[in-house]
Amino acid sequence: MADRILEQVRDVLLRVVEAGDAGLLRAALSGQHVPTPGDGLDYGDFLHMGLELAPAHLDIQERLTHLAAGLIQERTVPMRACLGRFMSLEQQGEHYGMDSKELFPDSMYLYNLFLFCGQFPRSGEMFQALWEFHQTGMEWGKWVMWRGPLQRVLDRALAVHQIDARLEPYWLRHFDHAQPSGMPLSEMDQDRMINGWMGLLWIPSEEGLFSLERINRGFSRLSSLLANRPEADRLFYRLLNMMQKAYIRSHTYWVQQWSPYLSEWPNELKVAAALHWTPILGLDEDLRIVWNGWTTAVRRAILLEARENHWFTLLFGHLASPTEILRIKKELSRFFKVESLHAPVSQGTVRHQEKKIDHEHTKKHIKVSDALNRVQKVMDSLRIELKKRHFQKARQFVEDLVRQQEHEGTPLEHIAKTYSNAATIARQFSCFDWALELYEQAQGLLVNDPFVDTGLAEVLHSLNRHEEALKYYQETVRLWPTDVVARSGLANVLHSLNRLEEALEYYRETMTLWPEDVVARNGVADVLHSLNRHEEALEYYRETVTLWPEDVFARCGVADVLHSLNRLEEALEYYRETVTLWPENVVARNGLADVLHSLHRLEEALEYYRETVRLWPEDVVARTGLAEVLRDLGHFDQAETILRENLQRWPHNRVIPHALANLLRRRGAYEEGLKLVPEPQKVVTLHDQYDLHLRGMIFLERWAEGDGNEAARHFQKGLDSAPSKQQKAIWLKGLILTALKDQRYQDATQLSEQLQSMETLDATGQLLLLHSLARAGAEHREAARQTAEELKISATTWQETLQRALAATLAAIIQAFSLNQPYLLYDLEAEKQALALEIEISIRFLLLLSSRRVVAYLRY
Amino acid sequence: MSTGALPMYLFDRCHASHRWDRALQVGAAPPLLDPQLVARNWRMDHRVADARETSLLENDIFSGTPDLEIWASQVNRFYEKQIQLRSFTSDAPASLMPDTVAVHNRNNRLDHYQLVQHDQLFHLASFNRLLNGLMSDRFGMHRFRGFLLEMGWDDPMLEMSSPPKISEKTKWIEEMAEKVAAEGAETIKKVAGALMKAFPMRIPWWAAFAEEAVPWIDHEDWSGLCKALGIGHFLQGEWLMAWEYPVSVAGPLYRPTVVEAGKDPFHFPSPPGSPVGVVMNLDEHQEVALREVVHLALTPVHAHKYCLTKMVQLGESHVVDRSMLPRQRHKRRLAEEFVHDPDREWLARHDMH
Repeated sequence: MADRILEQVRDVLLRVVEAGDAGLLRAALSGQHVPTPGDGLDYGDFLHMGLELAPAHLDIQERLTHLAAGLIQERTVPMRACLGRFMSLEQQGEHYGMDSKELFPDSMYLYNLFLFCGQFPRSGEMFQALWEFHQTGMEWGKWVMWRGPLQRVLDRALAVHQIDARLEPYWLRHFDHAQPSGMPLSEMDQDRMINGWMGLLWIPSEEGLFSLERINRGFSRLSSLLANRPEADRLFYRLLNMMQKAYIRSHTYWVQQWSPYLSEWPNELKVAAALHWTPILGLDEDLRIVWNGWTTAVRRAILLEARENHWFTLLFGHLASPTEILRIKKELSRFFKVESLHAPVSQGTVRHQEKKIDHEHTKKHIKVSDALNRVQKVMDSLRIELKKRHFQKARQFVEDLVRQQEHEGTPLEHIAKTYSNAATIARQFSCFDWALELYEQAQGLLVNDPFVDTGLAEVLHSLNRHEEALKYYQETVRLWPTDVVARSGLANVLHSLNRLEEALEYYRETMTLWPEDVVARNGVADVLHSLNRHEEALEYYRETVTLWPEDVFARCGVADVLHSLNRLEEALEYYRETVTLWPENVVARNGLADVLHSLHRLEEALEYYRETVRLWPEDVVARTGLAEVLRDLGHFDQAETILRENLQRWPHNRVIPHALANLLRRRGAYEEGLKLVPEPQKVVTLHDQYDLHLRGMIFLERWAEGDGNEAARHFQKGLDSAPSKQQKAIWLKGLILTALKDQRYQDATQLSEQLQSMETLDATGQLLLLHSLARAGAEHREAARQTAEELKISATTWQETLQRALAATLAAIIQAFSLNQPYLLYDLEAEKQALALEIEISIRFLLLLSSRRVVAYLRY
Repeated sequence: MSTGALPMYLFDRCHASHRWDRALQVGAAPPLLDPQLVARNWRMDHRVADARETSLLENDIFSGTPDLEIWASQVNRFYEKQIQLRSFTSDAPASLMPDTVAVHNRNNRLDHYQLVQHDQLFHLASFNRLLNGLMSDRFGMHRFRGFLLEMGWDDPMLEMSSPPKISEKTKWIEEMAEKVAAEGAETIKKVAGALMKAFPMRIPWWAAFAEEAVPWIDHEDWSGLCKALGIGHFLQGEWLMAWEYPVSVAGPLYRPTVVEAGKDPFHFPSPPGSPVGVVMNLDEHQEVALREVVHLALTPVHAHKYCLTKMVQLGESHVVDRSMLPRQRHKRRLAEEFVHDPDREWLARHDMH
């Protein structure tokens, strides 16, 4: 506001004082003779602003106080008369109710008068005038409803000028008459409470500036008013803030003053006090540094939780060293008078508590940084030792660290974190058994921790203990429905369990809840891929790549689907682009090598895999891929050596024994092959399917006594468990081959017809149909010849990776049954060769069909 | 463009470049000279609002692109002309009031609706410096001579050279102080009123809240009191007088800023979370940081009424630590008391201070 305007106001006030003109003051407070204040200012405030410019050596304030007190007195008399008249009328039964306009015809003037008076220094004369006005109203309180702005400014003026404690009961009554406990306070009740609090604060005390006892009585009444109300913390914070602004003091002063009263305070008030004055918590200097280093929001969250005896933020926020966290928790428990944490007690907890008590006397104070550095160093060492495959040494590191933490009295929650962190590292190095052990240790100390439970479930998944993993994930999702990692893990296990529709549903639900979660999106695409809904999968992956161009997994997904769609050149191109962009990404490199393998560009694939193995010696996919290429290049010995090494290193991986068993089959070592892939009890996962299929094929190929029945039993078992037509077709082909080899040609023909009725036959299916027709006798010979001709034509569209084998099989069948001749000349050797080729391509076709090699490997 | 090691801050606002670059780019390595400390305070003091900054920069006193030395003299001149030496008569226009009470410093004015008016403030002043300031102004001295005559005391000007030599003034001031202190309560109060009446200017008073200062006020030696109030420039041998008075007679209270502190190197800006100033305690054995405000000097009537009835001379033991230690201690104390995010961020932003 311009000083010129305020100078005009000052001049009016100087005239008021010089002439002792109360009328002029009354007029000014009604808005006459002074400029319009603007800015939403009231005249009471406006006049005061002008007063501040007045020369201070004139005792202008005292003189204005005197005049203003007179103005109040002159309004008290007519109010009393008016109220008396109303009372008389009511007694005569002629008038009911009160017309406030009649009582206060000039309410705006009165409002500004009280506002103006409330800004003068305390004056006995002014208080007397205000008191009389207030008392008159109180006496006639039956009619006068003291509410609204007029009461607020009168209260304010009374608070400022009160010279003794006579108004204390009046101020305390401001804390009554509220809505029921548990409900939020209305705005009006909040205003009333604030007015009362101010009045109480401003009562001068005989023994000093203010009486702590009196203010504490106010706290006591306020505690009843605010008990169980949702805004209690906020309001107490505000009340303390008012107190600090009323009496400006250092925090040290307030802590000294209020400490003796703390035990009487409700916890809501303690929270507010601790937020205002940290020292009131009684933390020592070291802990205060830690505490003050946290943000206001963190400190507030910890206090609010501690008040309720909850410690989530403090214990799991990784905010300081375990020792410091424990000590802060202890101090806060004492401050709020809450019992220590009631965590479910496990055997592990008991064991650690006992050790803790044993070592209590030797507890040492360790600094945060030291403790954190030490844990970090151990974890780094752990990685190094596991990389060197020094498992025993790695175990020793963790055991030593935990022993030391126990010795120092580290909270159990933090020892659990040590176990959990070590388990994560062990899992990264495929030490699943040890990881499981560590997670179980962590779980023994920290029940229902989402991180530990999810980690445990992941390890169980890696150990192919899918049902157990599923249970853990389901429990974790039940407890923490918003834990996206657990939800994705759950869907992943369902995928592994071949419960594809459920997995899809779960991923889709997760994706709906967290549209930004790329893992869930990729999960949807992955399952669609497994369901052979390739085009949909491709669309999903492509969309993900558009949205998250940096997501290599989605890029590999695109290429992998293209691979499955036999669009090998496109897949190759896509992988090449990905490898160029992310040369360090091993998944993309493996994908690229795999496509080269499918394209039968074996030397290139070999080179790629070798390079990858050199760069990532621990990558199981690259090592297995290398072995498979060597096998196809005829280097069986080298392939076998690598696979045996892999098996030793990754004993829980199910791809390796399958690949080794398949190689051994090729080398005629059927027994060992069968041992490597034991018959699954139930055909649940994709790997169960692969293993069962391979076993059937081994029996078929070995063809010793009883092997025919065994092969048929295996394929029938697969057929019975197959959830989809496409998967049933795989097993039907096995049964057809068995029937052909067993010379049950009629069965073979019937099964072929059954196969034909189920789906559009692919190349392997067409070859089996051809073989069955050729075996079925002269009446089917023409149909067989016709089928052979059609196959010759369609051969160019066959998948390149199988093209040579398919062509060789076709040639063998044609040769076996002289389909290119007008008459039948049966060639037994050629049929044997055809059968062998059919077994070979069935195995490879299954792997190719359902492989999603890159993606599938990622899960193991 | 600033080339110093530190980012260029003025009033806690970062500037890519500024015409005060040369003055305010103070190195981080202690020990620092007084102007360097003042410069640091000006860099970090968030309490000076944009409008006040504009007004300062537009003031003729702060012209050019000064180096530290020239800038420090500008700061001092501004303090003398715009804070200290303001005319004060009954018809003085608002424009002649100290810069402290100008509209552009409104952000530092305390809300009188919230502050208890009967709370007590405490102000400490050097009798020697007050008289010396008075003698520098012939009108002021003329008014004070009237009081001397009224008291039946000799007119010092009659025995001094014209203009008086410093040694002559010092000698007379010391004699006056001893005489007033010896005469006791009533004389001290009268002198207090007369000084304020004679003073040609209304210097803003720095005041603490009396209740917290009581332990030092009650002490016979006021050296500890000076340190608790962050007053480092009073010297051994100076006579001190004090006032204890209710908030209600002090007029509007303001949170002090570096502008009010002038060339005082013992000032330290208060954090954003403090509505008032926080005194930098100069005593290494004291942990408390008193709160402080500024307001216009009391009227002569109030100066008489509320003056304490004793004067205390600072003894030989009064030594003030002029190293960086008090600042470092104070900063640690601020970090302990002011823990809300804006305070922590502000302290971190000016960590080298």
